[in-house]
Amino acid sequence: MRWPAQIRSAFCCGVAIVFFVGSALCAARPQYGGVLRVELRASSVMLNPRRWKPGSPEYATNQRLAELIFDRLVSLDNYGRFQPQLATEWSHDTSLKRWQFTLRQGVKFSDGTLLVPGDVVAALQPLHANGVQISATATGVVIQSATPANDLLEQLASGSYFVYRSDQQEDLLGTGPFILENTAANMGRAEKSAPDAAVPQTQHLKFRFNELCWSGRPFLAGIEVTLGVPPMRALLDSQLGKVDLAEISQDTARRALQSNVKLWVSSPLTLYALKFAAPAKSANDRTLREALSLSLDRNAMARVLLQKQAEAAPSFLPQWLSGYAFVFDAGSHLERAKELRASLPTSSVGAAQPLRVSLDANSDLSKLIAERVVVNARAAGLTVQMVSRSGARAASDGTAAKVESEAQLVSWRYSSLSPREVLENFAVTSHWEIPQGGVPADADARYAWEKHMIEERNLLPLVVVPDFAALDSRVRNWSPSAWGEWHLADVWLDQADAGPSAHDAGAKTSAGARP
Amino acid sequence: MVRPAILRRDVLNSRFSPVNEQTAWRTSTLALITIFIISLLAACVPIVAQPQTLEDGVERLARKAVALPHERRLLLVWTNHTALSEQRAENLRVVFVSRLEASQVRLVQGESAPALHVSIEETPSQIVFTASVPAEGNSNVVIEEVARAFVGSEARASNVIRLEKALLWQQETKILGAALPASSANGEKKMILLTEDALAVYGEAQGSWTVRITKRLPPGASQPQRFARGQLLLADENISQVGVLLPGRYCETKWADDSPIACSATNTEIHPGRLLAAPACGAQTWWLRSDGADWTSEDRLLLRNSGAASNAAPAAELTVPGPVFSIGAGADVGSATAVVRNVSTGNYEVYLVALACAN
Repeated sequence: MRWPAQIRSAFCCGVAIVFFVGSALCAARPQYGGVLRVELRASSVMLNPRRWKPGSPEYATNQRLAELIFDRLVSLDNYGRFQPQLATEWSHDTSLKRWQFTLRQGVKFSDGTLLVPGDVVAALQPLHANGVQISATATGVVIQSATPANDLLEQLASGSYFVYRSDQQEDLLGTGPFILENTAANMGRAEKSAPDAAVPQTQHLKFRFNELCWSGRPFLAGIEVTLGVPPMRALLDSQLGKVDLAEISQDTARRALQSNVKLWVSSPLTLYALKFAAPAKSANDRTLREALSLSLDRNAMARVLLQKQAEAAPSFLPQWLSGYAFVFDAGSHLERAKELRASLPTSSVGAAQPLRVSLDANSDLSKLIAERVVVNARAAGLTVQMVSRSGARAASDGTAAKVESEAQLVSWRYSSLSPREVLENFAVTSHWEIPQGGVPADADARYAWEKHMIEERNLLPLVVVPDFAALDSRVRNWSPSAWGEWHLADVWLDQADAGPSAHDAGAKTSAGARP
Repeated sequence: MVRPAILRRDVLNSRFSPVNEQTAWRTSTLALITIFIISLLAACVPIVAQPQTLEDGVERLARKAVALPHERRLLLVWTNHTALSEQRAENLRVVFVSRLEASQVRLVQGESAPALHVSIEETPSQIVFTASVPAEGNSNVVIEEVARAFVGSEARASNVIRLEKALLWQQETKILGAALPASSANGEKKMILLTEDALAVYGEAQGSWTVRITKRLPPGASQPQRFARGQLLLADENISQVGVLLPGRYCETKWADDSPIACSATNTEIHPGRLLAAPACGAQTWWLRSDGADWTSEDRLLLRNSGAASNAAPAAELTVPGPVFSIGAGADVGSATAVVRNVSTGNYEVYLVALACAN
């Protein structure tokens, strides 16, 4: 039977319209299924938050993978509002010393056991400093602090404050959206056997969705993580469609911008600084450090050297975290630096003999920044010599790096949303004297303490650098926080957008099917 | 001291346990001393309390600033780097200025004077006010923080979405669907209405709608009155075509001329909502649907993020005076039409429903 031409054309248009409406619907509606392929730089991962070292470069990787399997009591949204997670309600007394949290009912760990207040106490108590006591109540926990804890929510919403439990095999169990599949059994045991070191594990980690997750099943069926991928290879894999999300570096980010790869840039999360091995012992030491600090052109480092992919760091805390970093002077004062240099005795360090600064030989970015420090110092008449840290070790049995150099070029990863806690971690790691009662939480006092420590010049902040990641076009609902959390539980894969290079595992899953 | 026997008996007969008066005296003295010590401690230990409003924070900042050594004449430089609206920032500046002027600080404009810099910054959880107060060639800094959670909703970023409605048309006879085709730059605005038996194209002239073309639906397309429903579809790739989706049938015609309506059988379901976008408010897309609880009462239009579950809390909602019969195309991606039966008047009304940023 042949239909009249009008009917035929009408039907075709109808089909076209319906297809248009349908495809618009599919593009907007999240799809369940698919495996997200992730490549990370770190060669090992440590999921036990108690063993994370604040400020270390590995901290970010540990935290990003931990947030797949663990939850926190609260989280912070992009509008500055604390959102309930495992805690549904919280309150504090007028002195901000006693905080009460009510736990969400019916939350289960991935093995099906119920979350109870004792689990929260066991997970969080070891992470809190002395003077903070956590106790279980019938419906939640009470956190009692010796001093006002007005940044407690910021602490709990970031860093290592995850809630987890060890099972009988001492594996770590969480309540989060994913479960670590392949190495869950030996991860905890390996960490136990070598508690102080990052344990090199298999290069691939597989996560699958947690059906018991209180916040609902994530869109992704699973996540495959490959560790130890150098940034350049990660970028190439991203360009070839072999990976959906790849961690890349500052220099490869520039290349990514020139290609068709989607680039994600966080707030500046890693501080690069010159750290002196010991406090200034003499007036000459202090003069040398002041001259070096004044000679540094941090703005040029950020704008020219790092091509605007970094910010000048006049202070320990970045502007996005403290809100007052702009008050500190990031400018270069070369003439004053020259005057100070002229006042130094000719035989002093930095004049006749060079100031030796050690740096990580494996970090291209460190080398780049160090070279600029040498150039800036030379402009003020100061002599600075860079010593490769691995080279120094090779020359003198491992411990020589600290002995042979007067300073180090170090990097520090910000890992807390509490400026006070960041400064305190900074001080503890650097062996600085901490005021009685800790670093002040009050903004005025905290600023004053930070200013004082900057004027001590035991550590000269240089630049702060963001995190970078390359994203495949089929990654949808990518909504990370500015402070570096990836929120992969909210991500879904556009399976219709999967090209010929798309991963089979992703293509085989039930696209569009809701559980 | 020994109490009279009658009193002791009363004590023994009372519903409270008898007490040792000596211990009671000691206890009350101890309690008084304890309360005194606690009060003393409370007075000595500063309680760190954050201001609860931005105005409170600015007042405290101003008090701190005038407590520092400062010049008598100052030039105020006020900078806002947050998502607070300019109006809100200006209101805060007024609060700051009035507090300074009450403390005998003269703020000048257009004159040479040391600059008092006040900056409003934002961190993940705080709004941070910083004042750099000049004094004798130097400057001192005071800082005040207010939790961002305390900031009123009117001050939030402009990507908060809301719904607005405007009545376009009303009539007593049933309307199944409505759509607004995109008009050319200087062309007349058009509105297409689908009734139980016809398709009517209206044009707007001098603020009122006048019927331009009416096309009867083919006999096979008529429906039982009680269950009559339909939806108008406009395709982006062919703006002169309009599709009519009826239960079990798909019809099509050109709305701008007299060509007849052609229908064919289809299994396509009438979709109860419409996908919208508001590029000015953000990149996300939104589903507009009706609450659809009861056809005898007022209804609500609900806007949800397109990624949200169908029972998720709506990002915005709008009450309409009766049940929503259909949601159709608006003139752009950020608007839609809603056909509502007004339960107060019994009339069928067509509303233009548009997305807007909350600011």
